[in-house]
Amino acid sequence: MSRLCEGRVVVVTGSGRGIGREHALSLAKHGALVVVNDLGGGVDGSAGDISPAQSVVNEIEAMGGRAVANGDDISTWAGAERLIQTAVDTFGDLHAVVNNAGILRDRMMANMSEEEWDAVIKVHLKGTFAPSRFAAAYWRDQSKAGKPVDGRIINTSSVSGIYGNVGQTNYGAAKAGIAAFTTIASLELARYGVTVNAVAPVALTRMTENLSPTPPTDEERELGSPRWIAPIVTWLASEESKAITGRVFEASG
Amino acid sequence: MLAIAEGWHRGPTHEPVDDAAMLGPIVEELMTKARLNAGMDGKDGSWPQPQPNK
Repeated sequence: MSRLCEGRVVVVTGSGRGIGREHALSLAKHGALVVVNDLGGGVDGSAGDISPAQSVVNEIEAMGGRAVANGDDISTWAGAERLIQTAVDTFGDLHAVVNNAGILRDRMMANMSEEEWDAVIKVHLKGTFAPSRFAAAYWRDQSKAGKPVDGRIINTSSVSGIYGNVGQTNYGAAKAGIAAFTTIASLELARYGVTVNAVAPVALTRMTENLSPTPPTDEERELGSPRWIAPIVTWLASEESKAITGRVFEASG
Repeated sequence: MLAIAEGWHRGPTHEPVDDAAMLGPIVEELMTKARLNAGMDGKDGSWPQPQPNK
């Protein structure tokens, strides 16, 4: 198998479960050194533990890869800074950040609470901005020091954001914001050798499988498998994607 | 399905792919079909178009 990300250091937020876990495993199979970040929280953002992240690290190490677990809250300034520093301290460099972590607090707008709005905006929007900000500063400093930079930021938007979905004003607004963030960040960071793209996945995970009133069929499970999302993220994290920036890739089975 | 979004609309599409190593030529083909991002004047392909690593 051609290994697209050999030796590249990649941070994946929210990668203890679901789509993020699939990203981390795919990146490791392609030779990446992975920082597996996960707060270990509930779907609604409630606090948890780091064991899902450590479990993914164990899987990567069992297949001969290298990874480290990180339990920082990426929607905080200090947590995001520590996460990026973990990559540099552990593996000596940083090549890509995959901003994947997310929560849901679906509610029709007329019933939505301030807390439900704030929590979703914080995790998705600030949780994309904050790690990207510290990664961008690292790459800017590398570039200004004359070192070659081939950086990647890969964000997670959603069809709920770019097309719209009832009951998700908070989530959709955050995801549309992430698409706009992607465009603008791509313009700002091209000068440092950094590309910024986003994926808009459709997948059945712990976060989404209870949204439908009926259980998913086997066919829906196959079409909603995260395995259809990880390849484009892995490719975008690789050196092969260096000419592509500022785009949103919709991905599903 | 793999597709490139053109603003609020789905752009060119391709069958789903589960092997990242196959994606280079597929994304290249999609990019030739996708509308360019607009600049601040709202026109396709107007300045600035990022040119990373060039």
